[in-house]
Amino acid sequence: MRRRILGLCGGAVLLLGILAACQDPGSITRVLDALGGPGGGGGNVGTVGSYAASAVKGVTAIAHASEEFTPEQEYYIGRSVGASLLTKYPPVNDPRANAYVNEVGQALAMFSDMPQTYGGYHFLIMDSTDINAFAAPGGLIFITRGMLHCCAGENALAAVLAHEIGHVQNKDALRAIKRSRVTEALAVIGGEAVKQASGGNLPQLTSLFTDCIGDIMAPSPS
Amino acid sequence: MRIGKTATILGLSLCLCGVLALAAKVMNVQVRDGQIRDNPSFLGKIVSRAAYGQPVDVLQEQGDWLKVSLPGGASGWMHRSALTDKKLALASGSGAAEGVSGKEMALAGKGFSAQVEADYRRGHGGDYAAIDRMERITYDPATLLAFLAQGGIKPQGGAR
Repeated sequence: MRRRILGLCGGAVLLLGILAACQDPGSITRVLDALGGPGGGGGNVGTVGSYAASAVKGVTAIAHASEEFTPEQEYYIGRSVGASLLTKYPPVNDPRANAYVNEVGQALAMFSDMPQTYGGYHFLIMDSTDINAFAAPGGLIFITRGMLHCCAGENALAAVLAHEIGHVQNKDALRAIKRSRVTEALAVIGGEAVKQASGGNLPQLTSLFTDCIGDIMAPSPS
Repeated sequence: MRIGKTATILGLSLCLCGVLALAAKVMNVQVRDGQIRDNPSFLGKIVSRAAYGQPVDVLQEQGDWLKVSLPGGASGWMHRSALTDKKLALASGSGAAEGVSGKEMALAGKGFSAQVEADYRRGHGGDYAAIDRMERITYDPATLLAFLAQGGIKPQGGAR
């Protein structure tokens, strides 16, 4: 595990190095201009920080939870975590700004240790003045307008996105799911094939799915 | 006579070793869109595609790229991150009969699925339209490399 973490750290440093020589700091300025000043909209809906912190809680306590779900299941967990997050922090519907963040983020992901995930890496700006970013399982990465304004240039943006890509690759959000929940989910999923003939167990699976999303979205106890 | 017998045994052993060496390593596609390229690079032309869970034979390894062949005969290069040793595709209902473990069943492409997401959505809502829009934003590798080149960047990272 330590080796893996060290590897990820190394990867993050490498990612930062990749964009260290970037010579177009004007791009982010143009995007920020398009988004308007730091004062308006979003904001004050609690803090994204609590969610981001929850993504890494229990890293040492739950060593194997992240290994148990298939990439496809991780993808569906990630989609619902993202969809839930966006009800609190609405998306910025500016195609040009989102395209730029995706261009930087996807270029970074392509040169990371895990360039491919089940559904790929996708990035979205959230309309909040809070300064934060969030990585949902599977490769959906969110960055607040506040964080974008905080970035001095493209290099800083790249550093933030590389950090979030590291969370995806380390499956940190999945590690926030309670161990007992993972065990129960695996037992239900394990028996699913047998039960399918008699109509399946969708309500039970949905209930467990809901609890898993809840674990990831729950504010950190700290 | 004795020498002949020894030579026969030796010969058979060598043949067996050869057969074992030729037995290809099997891996499974763990991404939704498994892209198989004509050379070990994201800039390689996509010559075939493999679905999630599809087993492939690994013929050759070169850094983070693996040359694979599909059951239909197509072959090409896939990035290591698109493949796993874990079995992902079991025929529905076959696992219990064959006595596979709970962990293997969990890898059977069941469990948390589109059906579970739809059921969760009915009860909890969520901005899935925004997630769908988000997932549609993709850049092809050539465009991303051009973007990096525009900034004078020569990447040295994982996509070698």
